[in-house]
Amino acid sequence: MQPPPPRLNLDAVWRIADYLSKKDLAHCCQVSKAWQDLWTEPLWSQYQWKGWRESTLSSQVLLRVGQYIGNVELSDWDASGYDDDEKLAGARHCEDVLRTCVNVGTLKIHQNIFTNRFLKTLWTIERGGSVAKDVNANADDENECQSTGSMPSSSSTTTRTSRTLIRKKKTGKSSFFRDGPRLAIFSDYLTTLRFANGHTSAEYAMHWLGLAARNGRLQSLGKVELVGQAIRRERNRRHKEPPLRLSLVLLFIRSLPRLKHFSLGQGDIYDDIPDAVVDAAFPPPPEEYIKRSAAAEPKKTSSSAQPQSRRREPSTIPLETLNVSEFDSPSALAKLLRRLPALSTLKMDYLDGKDYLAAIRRFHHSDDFHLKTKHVASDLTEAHWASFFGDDGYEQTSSSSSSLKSTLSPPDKFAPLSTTTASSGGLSLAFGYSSVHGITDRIAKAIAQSRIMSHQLTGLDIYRASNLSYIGVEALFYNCPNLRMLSLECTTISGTLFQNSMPWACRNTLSILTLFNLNMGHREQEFAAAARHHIRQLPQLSHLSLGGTWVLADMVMDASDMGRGERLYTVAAKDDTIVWPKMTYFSLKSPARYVTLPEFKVMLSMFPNTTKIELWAFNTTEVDDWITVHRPDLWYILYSCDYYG
Amino acid sequence: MTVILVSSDNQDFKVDKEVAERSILIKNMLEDVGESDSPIPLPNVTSAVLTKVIEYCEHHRNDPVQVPEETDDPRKRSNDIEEWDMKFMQVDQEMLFEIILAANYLDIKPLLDVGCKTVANIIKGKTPEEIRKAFNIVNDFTPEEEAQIKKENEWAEDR
Repeated sequence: MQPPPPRLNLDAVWRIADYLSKKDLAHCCQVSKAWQDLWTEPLWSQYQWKGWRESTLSSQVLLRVGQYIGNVELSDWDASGYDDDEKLAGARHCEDVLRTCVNVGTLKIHQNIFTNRFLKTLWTIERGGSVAKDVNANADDENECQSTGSMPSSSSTTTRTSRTLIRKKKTGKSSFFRDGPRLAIFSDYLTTLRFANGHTSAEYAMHWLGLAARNGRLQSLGKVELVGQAIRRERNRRHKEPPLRLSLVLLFIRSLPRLKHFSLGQGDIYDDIPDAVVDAAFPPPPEEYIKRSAAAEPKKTSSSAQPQSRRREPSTIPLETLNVSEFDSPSALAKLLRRLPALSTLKMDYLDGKDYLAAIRRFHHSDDFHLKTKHVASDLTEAHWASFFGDDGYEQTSSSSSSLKSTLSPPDKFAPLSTTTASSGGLSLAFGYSSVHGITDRIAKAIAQSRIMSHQLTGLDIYRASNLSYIGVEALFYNCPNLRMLSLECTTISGTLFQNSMPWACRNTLSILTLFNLNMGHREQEFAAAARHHIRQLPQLSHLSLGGTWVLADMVMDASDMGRGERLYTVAAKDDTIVWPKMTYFSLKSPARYVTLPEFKVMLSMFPNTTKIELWAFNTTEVDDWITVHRPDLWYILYSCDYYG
Repeated sequence: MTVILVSSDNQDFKVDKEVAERSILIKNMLEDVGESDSPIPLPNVTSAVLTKVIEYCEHHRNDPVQVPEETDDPRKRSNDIEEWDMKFMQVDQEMLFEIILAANYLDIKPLLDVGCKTVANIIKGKTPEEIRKAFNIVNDFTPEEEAQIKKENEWAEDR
């Protein structure tokens, strides 16, 4: 037998691994002991740990390969259906994972690891390790790394070889924290962290994460999501839990040098810190980033009152996306925004009728700043809305500042309209979740009559707008030439909508259209025919979602000879075939209109480039089989015709 | 302008600077020392391997500088190899691995990629036993160990 092949170094092995599948890598590990050593890390770096019940990893295996695992999702280990023994077993497995997967890059925790009694040990000190010893051990660790000239956290370009070398040093027994979690969340390689907080307060998580960061850990962390809490106001009502302190949020954000995306499920951040103190502790960025409105800004106490020695250099907080549910006051939001010069996307769920929009407008005049809001309409009265978007206030402000660029959030590939966002530059609103304060005809007409607003409006999401009629909707269609997305759901619309056959102003831009559950009284047929006429004049249409009533389905297809699937669909033969070349997603959810296979084929010929489709199908098996054979690339959901009964 | 490269077995190779600079290592060395006629020692590369490496660099002397793909998803990388490169890589396995190591040492990314793709193509789709045969490797696992490692890696088999 010839000798084994020449040596391969780790760099080469990683490069070869880039061209191999997991299966090939697994086979390489089974070749020989030497090859197992070489290929184990590339293989296990691709492993995604999910839930202890699915896991076949024993503690011994975890000990051997845990350090290579890059993606961990701890879910469903203490579900309410489990008895205590199962929860304990799950907890032990979680502990094993969190102790051994010390180099994890993405960590998602769906259940509460902070306060669960089964995971109590995660909060205790290493047995036999004193505080001083731990700190020294950590210091030694740090010194060791520094002496090598490359801290892992600051070496994003570190090669895999050197990463491996450093990793060996970092996987020692040192335990930095006297108490608190000794978890993989302190990995220097961790880039994404998602906590479903459960009953734990966000403060608790932020406190520990911030502390870790300020002690030199978590330096690669770029994305943090703290989600899943009960609504803070509810917790306040029940448990007297105070709102979240702005000072803690600022400290946390500033502690993580690479944090670019931060989501805080239920914020309700309150302003606990005077402006002067904020300035001293968290200096705002240079003046060019800030366009402060002296008139609107509350007179702040002079920051020069603070000793100069306490003033720090302006921090460069890299945060680009902030997702917060609530703010307790506009001043809290304003103070936060002042210190986030790189912020380009702000998502807020509730505005509760206060003037947050003015605070946002004051500090962000960037062309590409996006504000995404949800659950807004229920909080925002028409008066608030009009004062902000109305001709006087809005246009005066925008004419004196840089122009606001119209932007539309790119649609999610898989759920194009799952988020209720509508954006027009820095000023955007999504209307929904209220039948009281949604968009009204008056607001729609205000938009249509404003030259700036009508041209900047690119998206609208209208849901249960009881004071909106066809007049308001048509005012938007005929006056907003840049409208790219319109979603109209659960709204009573007169059957005269779309009766005007003149082409819409937005006919060359509208690419996402949702019409769902519209109540048109007894004029459904007229509506369907008129809507069909307009929809066929939308060449840019890429996402079309129709449903709720069978007439809506007929906006695309003339179904005058429709026989509920019993007769073949004949539109292709009798009508001029319409083709939407840009259509990539089509959804037709109409419980009274089931698509047969021949109809389905006609649809695909109308949308030749569609990649995703959702349908109520007359015979799902038949359609399913056809897709499998002829369009295996198609992503589809078929709803059975007997779904309703 | 030419430069002289000295292999580990003390053979001199006179090559155009432009060709030599396909190696980032040599390019950096030349930049560091400035204009100089002194030969560049390459103690990790034998003359046989250096001959092959120079042949590759000569052939690709006019190729555009490759943009780093660090941000690309490695899984999306293609295993395709150009025809000339494929013929160039038709060498015995020892030489193939030596070329990979030399490309890594000399920092010639395109050559390293071609070498790694060639090895990956040999491995692809093969069972452990077939890989052993392809690379003349002795199976030093006991049957129990082999069964254990197979079980551990089961998760990767059906994906």
